[in-house]
Amino acid sequence: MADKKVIKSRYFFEEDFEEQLAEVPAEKVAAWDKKAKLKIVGKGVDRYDAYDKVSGTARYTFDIQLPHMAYAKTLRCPYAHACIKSIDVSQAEKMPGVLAVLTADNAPKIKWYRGTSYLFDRHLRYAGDEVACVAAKSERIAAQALKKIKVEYEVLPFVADAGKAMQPDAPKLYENGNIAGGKPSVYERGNADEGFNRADVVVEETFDTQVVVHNPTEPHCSVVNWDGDKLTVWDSTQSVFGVRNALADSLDIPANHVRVIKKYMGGGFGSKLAAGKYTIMAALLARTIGRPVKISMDREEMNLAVGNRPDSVQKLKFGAKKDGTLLAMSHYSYGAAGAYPSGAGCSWPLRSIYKCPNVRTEEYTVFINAGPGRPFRAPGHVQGTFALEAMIDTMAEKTGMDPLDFRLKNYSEIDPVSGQPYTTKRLREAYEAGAKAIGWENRNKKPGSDSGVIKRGLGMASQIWWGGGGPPTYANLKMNRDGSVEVLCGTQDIGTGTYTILAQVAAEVLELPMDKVSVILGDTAVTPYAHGSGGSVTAPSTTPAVRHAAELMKEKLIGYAAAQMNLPPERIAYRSGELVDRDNPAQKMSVSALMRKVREQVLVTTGMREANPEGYAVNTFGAQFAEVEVHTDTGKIVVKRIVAAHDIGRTLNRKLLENQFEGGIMQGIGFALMEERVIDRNTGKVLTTNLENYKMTLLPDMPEIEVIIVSDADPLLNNTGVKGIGEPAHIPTAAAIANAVYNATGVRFKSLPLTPDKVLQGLYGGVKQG
Amino acid sequence: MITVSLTINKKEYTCEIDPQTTLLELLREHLGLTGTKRGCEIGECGACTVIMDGLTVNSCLVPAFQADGSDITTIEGIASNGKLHPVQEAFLEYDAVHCGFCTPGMVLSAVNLLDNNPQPSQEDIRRALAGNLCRCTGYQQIFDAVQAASKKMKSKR
Amino acid sequence: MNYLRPKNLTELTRTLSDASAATQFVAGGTDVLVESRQPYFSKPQTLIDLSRVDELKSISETNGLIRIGAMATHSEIIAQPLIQRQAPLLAQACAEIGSQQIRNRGTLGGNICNASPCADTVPPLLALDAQVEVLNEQGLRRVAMQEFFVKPYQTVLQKNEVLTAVYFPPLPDGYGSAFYKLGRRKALAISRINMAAVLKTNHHGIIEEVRLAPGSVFPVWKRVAAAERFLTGKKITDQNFMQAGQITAQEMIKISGRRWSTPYKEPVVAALVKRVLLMAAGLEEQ
Repeated sequence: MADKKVIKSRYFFEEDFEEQLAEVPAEKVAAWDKKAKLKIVGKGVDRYDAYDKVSGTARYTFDIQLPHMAYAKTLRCPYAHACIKSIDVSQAEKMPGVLAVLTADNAPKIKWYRGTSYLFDRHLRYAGDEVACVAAKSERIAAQALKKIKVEYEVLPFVADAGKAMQPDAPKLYENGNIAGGKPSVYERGNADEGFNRADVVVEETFDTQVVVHNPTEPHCSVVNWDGDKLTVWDSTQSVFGVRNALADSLDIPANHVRVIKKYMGGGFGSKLAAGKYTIMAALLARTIGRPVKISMDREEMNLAVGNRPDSVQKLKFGAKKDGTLLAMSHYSYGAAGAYPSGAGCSWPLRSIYKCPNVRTEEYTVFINAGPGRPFRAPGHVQGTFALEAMIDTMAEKTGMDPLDFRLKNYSEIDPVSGQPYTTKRLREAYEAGAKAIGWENRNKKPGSDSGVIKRGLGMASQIWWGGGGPPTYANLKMNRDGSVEVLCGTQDIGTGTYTILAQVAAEVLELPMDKVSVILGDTAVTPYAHGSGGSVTAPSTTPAVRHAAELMKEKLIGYAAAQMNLPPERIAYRSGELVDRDNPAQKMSVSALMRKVREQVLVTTGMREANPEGYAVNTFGAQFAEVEVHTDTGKIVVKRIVAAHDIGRTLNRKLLENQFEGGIMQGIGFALMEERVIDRNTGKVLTTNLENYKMTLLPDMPEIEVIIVSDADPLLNNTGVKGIGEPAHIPTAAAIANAVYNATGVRFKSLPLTPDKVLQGLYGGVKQG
Repeated sequence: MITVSLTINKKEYTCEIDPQTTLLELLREHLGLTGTKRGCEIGECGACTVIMDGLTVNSCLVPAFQADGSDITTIEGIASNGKLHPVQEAFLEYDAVHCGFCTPGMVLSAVNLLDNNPQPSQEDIRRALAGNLCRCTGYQQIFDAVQAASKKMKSKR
Repeated sequence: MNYLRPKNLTELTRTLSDASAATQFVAGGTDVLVESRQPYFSKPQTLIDLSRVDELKSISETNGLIRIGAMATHSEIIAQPLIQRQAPLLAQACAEIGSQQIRNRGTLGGNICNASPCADTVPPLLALDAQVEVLNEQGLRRVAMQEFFVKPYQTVLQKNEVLTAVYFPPLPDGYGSAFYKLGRRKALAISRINMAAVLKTNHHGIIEEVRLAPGSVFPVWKRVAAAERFLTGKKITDQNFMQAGQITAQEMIKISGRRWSTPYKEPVVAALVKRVLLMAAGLEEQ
């Protein structure tokens, strides 16, 4: 187990496949058996960091106070599209309490947005694009100073709609036009046209979904401090190493001069996966004024400038035989990436869930004058699943089949894209368990058949995502002389419970009580490398690395005990914190007694995530079922119940898992019914710039939720048998709700969110939607 | 500048503040009590909830000068002598915590509910927490924790 | 910035002599502090804190009228037995405002004077035939609710005037009432449309008196006289209530013309009128 090797590791992260060289163990730790009787893993132990959070002692980035700290605020372009003709900061600089002002005039020309722009660009491509940054003695002074900066803008024509932006006469954000890459992203297997020709039933529909904004409760924030030429940054981030790299590159300093720390953060959902401009600006300001700088976004900036889920217009065409066999599917879509590069594609679910030999997809990512997109909890999959699952239901109806039966009819045992077998797939079990729990047989056989003003309906949707994670991921384990341990891993706990599950794994292997295990995460100077926390890669990448480190520690202790007891190592067993002679159990030492014999106070092992199994596709699967009530007089939709049945490998901690699923479902309800970034098409201004206008789900909006896990473990994938759950939880909810609304009303809604006015228009006819 | 004297978590404080200072700023910036969080600054998220003269309020919307003479409880004052309040214990037991940013506000809304209404109905709980936004948990475990705490507190009376 | 903190009506009256456009009255702070962050907001020179003026806080009944001080919070109104018994629709409206935290600070006077088209307390007060009491240097005067608003966000109050109380006759026994709010979410939702109704029928189910006040339907609040006329003397039926709703929707279109929101608003206004009347008649759950 001590041997390592280097491989090329390929795995999916948020929007695309990534490949990197990765160090992995040459010999894998044997995976826990599916039915293994584990003592701590799999139990609903209390969350590791809950005490800090309930007592109010948990310090988030904005809570950090340093002596002589200054505060920075950012001036942002008020126009959807403009060029800076001149900037006059003299009045702002003169204000008492103002310490420094950064603009394109005096800031280094740091490349940003994959080289398409700069930290401060004179060409401003959305309302919210950064124009200047002020450091002052207080936040209020900094905010007042922004008003004193005089900017002469040349206002340019703007385009705020992806469809319009694709037209040749649209205002251009870039010289090469508004289509990212100049062409669509295409995928093909088989021959879709042939498939349509052979089909008995062909359906074409167009769907559209809205831009939604992450809006974690904690705004983005950094605190930056220079000690000479060494920089320490506390950042609310999902990727400490990503931020460190961005700082080192942007400031042109060696990486070892930069330390990035993240202990607690108030959510991210993808919006905090990359370094923010504000961090670099704060670092530049701090260096100039010789004081630490704290910079925090306010809620308007949260809604303008730190990312969103792109919208989509999806034209789908499906063809099937009259017995329900899918013969062909084609997907044409475009989505607004916003002003700078980000991915808007959404065809993966269509390509990868159902068995269908002929598939063609053509996707356009379009630049518009609005805030740039960022990965948001299952990028593409949420909007793609909505349209896909609505079409599946439509095809089921047209072939006279129950929607569940139609999905089972087109069930794929292997990955339709690669042809590979799965490490595990329990989607069928998820369908069965979910259907039983919701009472699928009580579904309206005829949609809209409820009499009365309030109509009830049931709907379902399938879920697919990746969630296998992969190397490289390291974990260090340190054992102290009393047998207590520290786990160190460069991953981030973004609220999901990473601290807890890693402690559980170490405690399980070393047979320690939970309070003898400490976990330190998210510190580039102290914790070894792990991926950014997104894409549902964290648990399946880090738990095996921690297990590996703990198994190595056991081996190490056995070696030390053997030397101490003058026995060959094979004679020594590790049992419940003791090293025991197998042949003579009376001869034993406790770990702490052994450790006292050892000169070193602290033993260290390094664990690594093993290579992913070759020749297998790794996916998570699930199905969500929704029961809704549609109030046909007011257009209100009330979600009464959601049943979520999922295959996610091994459950590490049932309490944490339920928490994640309920949260994902809650966000799915928001996506289905109320969340929307609204832009005034006449001025290009965003109207939803605070939490009064950008509506998110509250407690009274929540339905009854039942979460059923249909998987035991995935032992082929990694040594803990774990797949990620953050994104699976969120993907199919809106689709299931929309399908339930069809079952309730008999009207197919093809545009999200399902606000009361859209529902009423759909029920009674009237002005065009959207 | 206005002089404001108030009691926070049973201690007395006197501060000089300018008229635009909010109670939230007074707590966090002037007194370093950072357990109360800033989420939206317009009273829509409840992360800044504190108990003022026996009632929950959004401290981001309370002018600090109106807190003169008030009795305030923040999250730092909920545990007593190092022992967690039954609501806090229930939050741990039911895993009502995720990223934790909404947690102080949730705890205060729950504590205030149970102080005023020791046997709340399910609807009472929903109403009391309806002003606290959570983006992570789906609220179910928070709800369960508050219900459990009310039962536990009832049996202790 | 001057900060004034009058302790009673006499001291408050004295502060009014210097009050101008640069004077900001602070009630509960829930609207003012939000507005103060807007770019168009200009910093006031004088702040007058109303929270210590004794006479503004009480809720009582005198001379056959209920008096609610302008600084009574929504929570206080909800909890007041007098209001629960004799003006329940006002308690219902206050109960739907914002969240617990907002209701504990937001005041009746603040809600009325902010005059947002979605203000939840105004339709019930209209349906209660309320009058507001205004204080200026000359003293106190009363203004009918119907006449208090000029347009959204603007009342008849001058810069040196303060709303001090609201008066209305308690609903007699046998009167039903209801408030209903549509909103886009169950809490913290500014109403898209809200509706208040008061209804008195005789033993045969014939309507003797009806008052109907919608919010966010007309440019300025008013009762729907045409619908009230139609309903008076008619029997309580689904159909009559529906027709009253359609009359209301037609009034809306007559006054405001057809706008982008009309296809949505028209059926909803009619449906909500019907619903609030059914609730006031005790035929549908509140």
